[in-house]
Amino acid sequence: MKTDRATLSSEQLSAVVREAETAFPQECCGLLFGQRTEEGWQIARAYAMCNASAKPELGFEFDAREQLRAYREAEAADWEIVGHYHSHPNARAGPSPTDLQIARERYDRALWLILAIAQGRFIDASLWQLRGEPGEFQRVELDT
Amino acid sequence: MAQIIIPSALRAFTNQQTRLEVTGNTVGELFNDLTRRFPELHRHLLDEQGRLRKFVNVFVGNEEIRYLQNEATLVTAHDEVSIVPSVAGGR
Repeated sequence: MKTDRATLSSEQLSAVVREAETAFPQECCGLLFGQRTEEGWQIARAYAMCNASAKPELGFEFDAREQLRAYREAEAADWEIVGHYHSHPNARAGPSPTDLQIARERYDRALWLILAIAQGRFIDASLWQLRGEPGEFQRVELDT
Repeated sequence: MAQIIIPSALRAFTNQQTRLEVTGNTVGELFNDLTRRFPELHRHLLDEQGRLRKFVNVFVGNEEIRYLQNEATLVTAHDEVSIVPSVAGGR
């Protein structure tokens, strides 16, 4: 199974971009529903979540109760949770030191979709996954 | 036996099984049974003292155990227990 590429429809990516631009200067966040196939990951849906962080301009955090509801919705639709997304206001579209620290601490090996937003406008998006021990983020090719 | 729902991220350690029947009268006992059967799950769920890691949220039905009695929360054979790994990050 190929694990170095993933597909996401342009409609779903556009929805995430709009969400990230609207949330600026705060970070937006959400889950990625989909499945793994022989060709890689297929991301079927970006599921918007509230940013429960106490400092949403600097980070994101899911609300556990909302996350449980999302998990149940994914299971009912026969999707897996293949990853999550968040935006970086006025920062690059790659994992930050905070992202790396948290991903290592929590063994978070899901797909990380990260969007760079500068002054409220979308700049770039990239997809990553933590691999190895203790783990380094590696780029996953994103086809839209 | 109560049922534990394994999140997608941890199914690699349960032979891709989503729902598992586990034995125990408390949440702590359920997790002990789960990690005994699937030892690779241990470091993802429990710390060195065998307590649930702080970034692992657990629900019995719709109730989060941190608002109940944490690992000492009683469960019945009809309960559904959900593991919800805390997700966070930021610039």
